[in-house]
Amino acid sequence: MTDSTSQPDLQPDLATLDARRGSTRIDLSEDGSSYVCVRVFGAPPARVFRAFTEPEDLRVWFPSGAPPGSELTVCESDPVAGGRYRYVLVIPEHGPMSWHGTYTGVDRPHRLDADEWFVMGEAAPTGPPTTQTLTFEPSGDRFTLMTMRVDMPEAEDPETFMDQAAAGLTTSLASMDELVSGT
Amino acid sequence: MSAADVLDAVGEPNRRRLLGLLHHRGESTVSELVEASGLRQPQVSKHLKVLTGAVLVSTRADGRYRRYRLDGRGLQAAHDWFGSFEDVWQARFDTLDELVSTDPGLVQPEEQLP
Repeated sequence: MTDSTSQPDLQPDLATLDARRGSTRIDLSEDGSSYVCVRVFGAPPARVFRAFTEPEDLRVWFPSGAPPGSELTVCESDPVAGGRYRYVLVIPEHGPMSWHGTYTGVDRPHRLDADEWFVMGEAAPTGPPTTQTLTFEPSGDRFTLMTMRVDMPEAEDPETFMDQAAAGLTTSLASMDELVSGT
Repeated sequence: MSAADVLDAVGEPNRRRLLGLLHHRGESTVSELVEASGLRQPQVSKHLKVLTGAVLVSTRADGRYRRYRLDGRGLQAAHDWFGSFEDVWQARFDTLDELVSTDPGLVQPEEQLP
């Protein structure tokens, strides 16, 4: 670890990555309109990219963190430029939440761009989407540094802001929190 | 009141609009909200009842008026129920990491120290 000169400068060194594995860092922008999430995974980009785009893998990890008894009833993904994805998570005593997306750019295994709409219930999505960019950078041959950037559409008026706040329960709780606690 | 009530409450666009108005205007009466939203009074009252039930809005009597304002307690319930933003991503990515790093199809190279 004392000599990292043999490592390419652009790569964070492996010991640092090892230490950072397991921790998910999220930075929410000051105005709440975007956030960046960084995470290190213990596999090369090709494998991580697949986990983000293949239904078989998404079924395994996407429902994690949801209330017990939640069920992913729809999990579709067509990871080509212009392809669509859709996940429906049914939560006990609440009902379905749906994520609708369009892949706007697919550069396997380096980068993934998508427009996403979140809907509570199963209605068709309306309004402007959030835009998401995921990048997968190799580190050594065992690690991937994943960066996810999510931009919410511009929120000038409170009504739109509340729409966004309710968009994507996970993002919503962060921004609604700000909204309510700032009053 | 439950977290599910909170989610139902914010799932309706006009209710989100009323929450936005309360955020923008601060404490308001029903008739002020009727005027600001362009909704009809029975609708506004109905939505406020749902929002109050979910504890996203609280109310107090002020003379002959009833005033409404935002209340963070319902949101706290939703947090407690679903977990925070960061907790959900942490849980998802822990599972994803386990999936990809233990994939038997992956050729694991010898561990190399720098």
